[in-house]
Amino acid sequence: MTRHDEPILRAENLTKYYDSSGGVIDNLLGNSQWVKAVDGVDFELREGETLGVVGESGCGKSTLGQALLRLIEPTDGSIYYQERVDSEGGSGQREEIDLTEVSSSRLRDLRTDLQYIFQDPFSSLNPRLTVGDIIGEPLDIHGIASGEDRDEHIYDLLETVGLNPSHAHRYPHEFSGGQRQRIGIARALAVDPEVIICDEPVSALDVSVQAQILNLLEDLQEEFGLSYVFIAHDLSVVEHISDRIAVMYLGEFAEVGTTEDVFSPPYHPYTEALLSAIPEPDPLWEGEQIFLSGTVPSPIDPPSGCRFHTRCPRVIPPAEYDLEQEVWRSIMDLKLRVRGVDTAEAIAVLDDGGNGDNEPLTLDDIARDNFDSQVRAEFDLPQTIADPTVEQSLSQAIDELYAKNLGAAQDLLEDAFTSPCEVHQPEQVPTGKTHRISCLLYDDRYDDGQFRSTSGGTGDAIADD
Amino acid sequence: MTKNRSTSTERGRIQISGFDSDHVTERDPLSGWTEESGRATQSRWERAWSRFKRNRSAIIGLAVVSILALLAVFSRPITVYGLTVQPFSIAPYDPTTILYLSDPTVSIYDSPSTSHPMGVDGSGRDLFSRILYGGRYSISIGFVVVALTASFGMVYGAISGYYGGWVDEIMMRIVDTIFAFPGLILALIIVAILGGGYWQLVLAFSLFGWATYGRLIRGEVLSIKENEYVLAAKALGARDRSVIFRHIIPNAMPPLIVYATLNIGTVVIGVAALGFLGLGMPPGTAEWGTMLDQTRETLIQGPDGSIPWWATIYPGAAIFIFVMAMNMIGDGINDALDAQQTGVGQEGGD
Ligand code: SF4
Repeated sequence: MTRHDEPILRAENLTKYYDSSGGVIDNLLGNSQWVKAVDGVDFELREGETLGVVGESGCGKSTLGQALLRLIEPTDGSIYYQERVDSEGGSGQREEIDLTEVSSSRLRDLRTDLQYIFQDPFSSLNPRLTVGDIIGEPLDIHGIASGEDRDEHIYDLLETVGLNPSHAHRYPHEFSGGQRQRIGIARALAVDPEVIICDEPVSALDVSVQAQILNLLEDLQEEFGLSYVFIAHDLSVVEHISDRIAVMYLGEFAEVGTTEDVFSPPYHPYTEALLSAIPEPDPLWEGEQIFLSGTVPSPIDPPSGCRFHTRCPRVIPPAEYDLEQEVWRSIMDLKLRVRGVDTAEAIAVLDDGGNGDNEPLTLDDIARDNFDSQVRAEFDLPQTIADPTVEQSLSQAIDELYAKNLGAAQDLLEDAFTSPCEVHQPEQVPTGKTHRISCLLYDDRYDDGQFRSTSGGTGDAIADD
Repeated sequence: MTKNRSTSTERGRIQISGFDSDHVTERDPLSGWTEESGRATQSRWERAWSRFKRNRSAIIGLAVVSILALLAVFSRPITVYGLTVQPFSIAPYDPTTILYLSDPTVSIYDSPSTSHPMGVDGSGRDLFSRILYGGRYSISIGFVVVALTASFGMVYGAISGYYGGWVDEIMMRIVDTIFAFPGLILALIIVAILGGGYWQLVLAFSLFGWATYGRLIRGEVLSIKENEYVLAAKALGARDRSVIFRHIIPNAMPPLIVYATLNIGTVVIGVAALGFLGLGMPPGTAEWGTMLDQTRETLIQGPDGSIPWWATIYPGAAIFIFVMAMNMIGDGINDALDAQQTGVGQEGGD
């Protein structure tokens, strides 16, 4: 199989915003809220390779997959596909097509090249059609085969994916999840595609069946020269089948590189946390799982700067302070909590030393010192922080909280503790020939706590929203 | 630390001992059935039918409706363009023949006897013949109206639900407007404008009757289109039309069928109600509701102080039995299809 220099599928600045408001009337009134499911992703898939796309649920990876095939209309950006054109004198000639520009009938033709395998083997097969009709549907739509030829095709496809041709007359409910997924694969193969987007094809399956399906996909790739985009929520699934991996966080790529690059330093802090969660079969493994604080923020109003800063264990402290990383993370957590709550009581679980009554405590019930130590305990902060400036700002903020001046406390915290990660949006930094990381830690523009705007002005990466 | 990870990032087949595929095929069949077990594949409709068959009241309902329909068809001969296509005649008399003109022994409101098993009505016509024949109007209007409204409502609702957005908004506001008026009042207005008669009645009940189907199907479509197989069909390049007719409507059928079955009964009652108000078929027609209307005054007191109960009881019973049987069928279908719905989707484990 020859590999071409030009990627077979390429996306530029692919963006998909969903309108999360409640329908037409809301739209008229201008109440729309945009869910930024995919936000300006650049993407390349080379011929014959498997690109793993990994991210937590809700990070927009399925949206990305569907937008790539225009199953949902992208809000912005372009998708280029290299279509094989048959010219005399040999194959391999390819011509670039912008999928976002083509007409819907042209797009329908292109569906024979670009296919999709769905996550849920139960809802992706129409329960009212026989397996033969499910696999035969693409043959009918594109007029690939009819009559006996069609039956032959269907039997061949069933055998290709490891099912028995006699299964053609049965209904999906008669099959197990793994077998249904095979049916879904056969359906995608029916049009003889070039690129298949596999949207978490094994995450609904048992571990033993997962391996079978992954192996089947690998065999098919070799046999038919397919290129895969393989979407998964877990690095361990894509580890063995991907040539390259893209790690996605809140609609953006955090890191892209070959599997080797992604699995070895330098790491993006998010990837590092994901990697630490993969259990090792080695009993002597002394891995230490990195726990991410907080939950995935809402894509409706994603965090400014680096979207990972609300959870990043390595979030960068301001240059003027001399702080341990954990302490800095805890201060950030406290600041984010203050930003999110309505009352000062909600900052920490208050406890007056166990008087036994279950009355919820208010601030008036406990002393200033007690409150201070409880807040510090909640966020794993030391009773006194080594850096005196930090300590001063922090205890001032806690004073304000104790006085129920939530707004003042917030202002104090925001003034004193602002990470460059909140302000500057990281760009994809090449950290190797094939490896790019979006993190200020690896950004040349950012060094020793000083942010240097690169000439030309593109680097003034203030939060874009 | 993660730096010490010792896994290879080489690509290759995944080897899990004990799970490699040779072992698995040798050891365990992939699913519970084998070719030899020979259980024939049943389509969903076959399974629904076998469940329906076990439902006794539904089968009784089906039998009653079939008998009433057959009796109506075979009550009098049917001729099409002078050609007799149905020569049987179960009803002893023509439903419009006034018997005392030819047979002086018969008088109006004769009570049931062996020669007139349901008695004679106020115009001296044989009630038994009229009841049998009357099924032709009531039953056929019921089926025709439901066929028309269900098909239109189905397409309307499917389009509204499938496209969503503005299209949906406008189409559903139209439906809301129709729902603002009681259906029988709308039918009454149309019949009052157009006058009575068979096709006028069909129109009266069809013109607005589709709205319920439209709303029902729209709701179904909204949930069906979330299924990945709809997206899968689009990914394969299917056109909207084929997605709607091949994937969406067949899956929306069960509630539609249940509602349609029950709706036949409702329409029959509606037709009878208009007939009873004197707005249905022309007076004298052997339609069940119209027959009731003509003997309305006898409900209080008949000629000679006696009440000819047969003149109202039999047409009323005919309406009641037909509607009751239709409802039993509807419930049976509901059970047959519903039970199936819950069984699917969660089957299979891995
Ligand atoms: S830019 Fe800052 S917050 Fe974002 S990943 Fe890098 S260190 Fe963490």
